[in-house]
Amino acid sequence: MSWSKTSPKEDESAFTDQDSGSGVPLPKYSGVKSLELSAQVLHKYNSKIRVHVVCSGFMYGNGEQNDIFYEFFRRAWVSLHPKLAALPVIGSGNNNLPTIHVTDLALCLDRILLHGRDYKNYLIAVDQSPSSTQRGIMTAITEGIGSGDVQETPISDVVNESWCEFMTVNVKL
Amino acid sequence: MNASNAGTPSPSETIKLLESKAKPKTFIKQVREADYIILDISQFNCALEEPEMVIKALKFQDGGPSTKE
Repeated sequence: MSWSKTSPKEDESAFTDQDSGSGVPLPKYSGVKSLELSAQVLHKYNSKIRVHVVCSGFMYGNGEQNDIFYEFFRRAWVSLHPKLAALPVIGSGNNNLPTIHVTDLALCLDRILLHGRDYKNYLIAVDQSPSSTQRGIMTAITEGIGSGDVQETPISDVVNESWCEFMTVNVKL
Repeated sequence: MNASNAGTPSPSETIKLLESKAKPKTFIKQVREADYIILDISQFNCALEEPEMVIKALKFQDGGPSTKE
């Protein structure tokens, strides 16, 4: 979430490891950002330490706690009512949601532990899914296991849902 | 596998639970002795006090900066 409020680049290209200082968090995640910065300068105080900050996309996969897509998988799978089975897309749904499968993230960390010297101080870990927009992800879920329908929903209708702030992030990593 | 016959202890015997709040001194000592530390702050509502304590422990040793550049 340390990139959650970052404005897109003018040329709409993706942010990379080189843009480590460009991330702007939502105010409630500013502590995460400052912790990242503190960790990145640790080697200046202790030359024996090598730090790698890994910024991952939204995790999905093995039912981990942060699985923000769980609710949508559940609704697509169990809902018989057509209105509930149609997954919500907030606004146009063209915002980019960076994601990564939790197993891929674990593999990344494994590689960094084993071959850390080959990697930079700041790393972005995201998957290269063709469905990286909110609408693309919702469509993939509902077409995969549900009715195949999505419904455009105004943000005012879902602003109190726990997943709302994540689904409205727009950052291309 | 019989642990007494093994040269290297099995992973379950090497896992230590560090408690930053209950045993802060032991916690800092164990952190400084660790070869690898992974701080997972990816949980959206995770408390940041413990990772901050880890960074502070690695940054300062015996009250001052451990190594100056």
